[in-house]
Amino acid sequence: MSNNRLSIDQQLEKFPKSWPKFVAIFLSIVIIYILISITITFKGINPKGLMIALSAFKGLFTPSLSLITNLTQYGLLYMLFETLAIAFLGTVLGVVISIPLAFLASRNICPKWVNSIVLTIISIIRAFPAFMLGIMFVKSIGPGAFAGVLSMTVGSVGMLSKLLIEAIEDLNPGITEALDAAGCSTFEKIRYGIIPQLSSNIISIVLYRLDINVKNATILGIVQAGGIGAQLIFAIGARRWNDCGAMLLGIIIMTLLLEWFSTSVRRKLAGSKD
Amino acid sequence: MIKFEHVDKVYSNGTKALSDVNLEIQQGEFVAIIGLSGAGKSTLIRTINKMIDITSGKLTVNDIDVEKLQGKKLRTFRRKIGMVFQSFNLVMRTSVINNVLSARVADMSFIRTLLGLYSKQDKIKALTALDKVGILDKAYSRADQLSGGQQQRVALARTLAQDPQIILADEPVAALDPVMADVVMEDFKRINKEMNITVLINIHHVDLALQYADRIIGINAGKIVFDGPTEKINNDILKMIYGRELTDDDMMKEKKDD
Amino acid sequence: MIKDFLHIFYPQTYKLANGKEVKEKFNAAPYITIIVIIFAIICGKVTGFDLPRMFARGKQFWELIGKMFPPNWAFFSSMKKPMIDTIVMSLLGTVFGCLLALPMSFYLSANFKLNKTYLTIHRGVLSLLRTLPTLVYAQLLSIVIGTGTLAGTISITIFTYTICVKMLYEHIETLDMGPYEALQSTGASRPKCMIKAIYPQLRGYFYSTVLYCFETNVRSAAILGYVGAGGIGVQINEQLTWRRYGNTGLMVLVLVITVVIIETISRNIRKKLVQG
Repeated sequence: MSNNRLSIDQQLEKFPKSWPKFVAIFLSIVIIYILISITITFKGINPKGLMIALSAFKGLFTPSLSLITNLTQYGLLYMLFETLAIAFLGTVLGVVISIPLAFLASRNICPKWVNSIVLTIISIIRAFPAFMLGIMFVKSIGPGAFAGVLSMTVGSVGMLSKLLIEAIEDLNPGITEALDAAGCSTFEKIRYGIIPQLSSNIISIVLYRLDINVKNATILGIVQAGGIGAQLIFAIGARRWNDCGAMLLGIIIMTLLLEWFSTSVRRKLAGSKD
Repeated sequence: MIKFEHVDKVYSNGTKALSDVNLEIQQGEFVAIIGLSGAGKSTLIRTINKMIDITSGKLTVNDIDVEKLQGKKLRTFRRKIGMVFQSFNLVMRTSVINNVLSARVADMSFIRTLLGLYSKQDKIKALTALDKVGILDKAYSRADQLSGGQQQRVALARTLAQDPQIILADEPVAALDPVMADVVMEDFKRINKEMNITVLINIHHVDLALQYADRIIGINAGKIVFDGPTEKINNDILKMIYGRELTDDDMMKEKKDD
Repeated sequence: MIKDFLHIFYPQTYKLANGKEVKEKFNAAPYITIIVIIFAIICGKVTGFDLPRMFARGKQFWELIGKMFPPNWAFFSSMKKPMIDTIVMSLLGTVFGCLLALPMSFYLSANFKLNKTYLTIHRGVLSLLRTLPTLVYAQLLSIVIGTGTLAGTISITIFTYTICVKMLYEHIETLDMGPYEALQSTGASRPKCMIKAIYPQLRGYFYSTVLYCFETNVRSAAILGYVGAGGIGVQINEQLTWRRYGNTGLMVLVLVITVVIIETISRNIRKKLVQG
């Protein structure tokens, strides 16, 4: 019994001390405080700020009807469609570029030295923020939706090829081996062995990226690369709250519809695989 | 004392899980509840700490009307009733001692719970409980590194750490192999005898029930068909409870063909 | 030949040797491909997509990059402050957003059977807020509370909150509720059960979500300067407009290196979290 008693005391001593927890909490608070004090400058609330916020909020519920019903190039629908078009075309072109890159970068398809070269290129592209690419294309190609499409394309390549590489490296090697044994050529192997395994994966990756691209396309306008963004920021800056409300509603509805579409398709694909 | 008077339970989908249950269980008894799966064993046990509400009748525990308990009163009431589950219900990603100590948070302030600041008494209580089930040396292992039997003993220690008067166990050994099942049942028996804690065990395996329990309650389709000391059990009664001949699946160890 | 090609559009029927007829499963792929191509062509018209122009002007893109190198290292002292601002804004926004999201995500998980109407409404509002880009919040806030890093930090906080809450409650719904039931049976209150039974299971995923949000935020925070919400974005634009390509090159280089460093660190930590 005395032996057991001792053992409980011994185990009690091993209990993790609580002071490191307090030190960690204290340090985090100090660090956050320091960061706030060196970075954040609070100039006091704009006295009209609250009024502005209120009228902005009202604008959201009284969207400008003329903007919605305007079917010309300056109407809401056209702006939304242009945004969607930038995102869609950027995604499609991004996929066209990513698929061969992904095959080149997959360990089970190509030799190692090819992989590492392609992977380096992909990770450099990935590091560029979308708007940075936007600026660079606007400066070289000229402002407009075309520059937006190109920056979407390049911006998608990083993530798309990374996800595609994962999908390709997860492929079941048995099927290609069986086709090998049946004497198929490399093209036939990719067409009959790899594509059928990969197609549902590719579709869900592409839809996922399309979602992101539509969100990015709404802000590309700020660097004059087309889409609804420029008009929206102008409208906010000029405090045209009704126009702004109409555009925000448009963005919300478009994004939600697309999200709904892509999640239902992806869920269906995931379901059919099981 | 646990007392059921004409207790019924009907689930919202229309399933009648308990019908006209009358029982009286004294402090310190070791009771095994046997019957087919789906007979209402789990429901019966879970009504005692109001994890499941009864539909009609009266259920009292130490003269407290369980049906009337709510909110804070219900939580205070539950502190005296421990519960052990078939799937152990441990947090696998944390240490054994943290699992056992989690039984103490009901008595602690919110801020102490949030920061995980346990008092020395609580730590001693938790370690003593681990010692009682013989796995004190595993206190600082992660729960998922332990075997199934050891995990169930951690769960038992967690229950002991809340100083219960009653322990409800829902198929505690169904997921264990026969050797571990015996060890865990021994633990229950010892705790029952040494600490005078009432133990109610739902158990599918007849042989274990007969070996360890003092009293057997047989339940079939929500009705109590047998209630008496273990010695009175015979083959005819078992056939009545199970509604059929016993099969190997109803035994943990004594396989008939072996 | 053309007939063979057309066969891919409708299911074929094969007659087997034993007389049985086997019909191919309907294959939607060719139709989807055609729709995508047609839509892409329409999009090309709308966006003024122009391959010859791309090749003609593409040279300028590389020239632009060429002019950015070598970067003007002397400019570093001027860009240090906005760069640090960008990182700190993302860091603070991530921390505050995730700290707010953590307790809320418990109340928005379907598995605790809390008030369903409240749950649906709150989730609905969040998915509306999620559709708006951070830039819109930043622009609105910089009008209301004035331009500067505060507007940027708050808009990153809001955006992080909406994303993080969703990721967390979706994960909580997959967790083991057994320990929660066990703790409820000891008489612990609901928040205590969540802290002791659910949070330890969530911890690894939570940290990894925080890191993921931080990565995304650093990338997107750079643009906030455009609407006066602090950070490096506005300088990049200025320097490009003034054709100081060396300065721009340095900023791009620093931004890219920062993103790569943060990503590498966070990816390694997250890998460990998944294993542990």
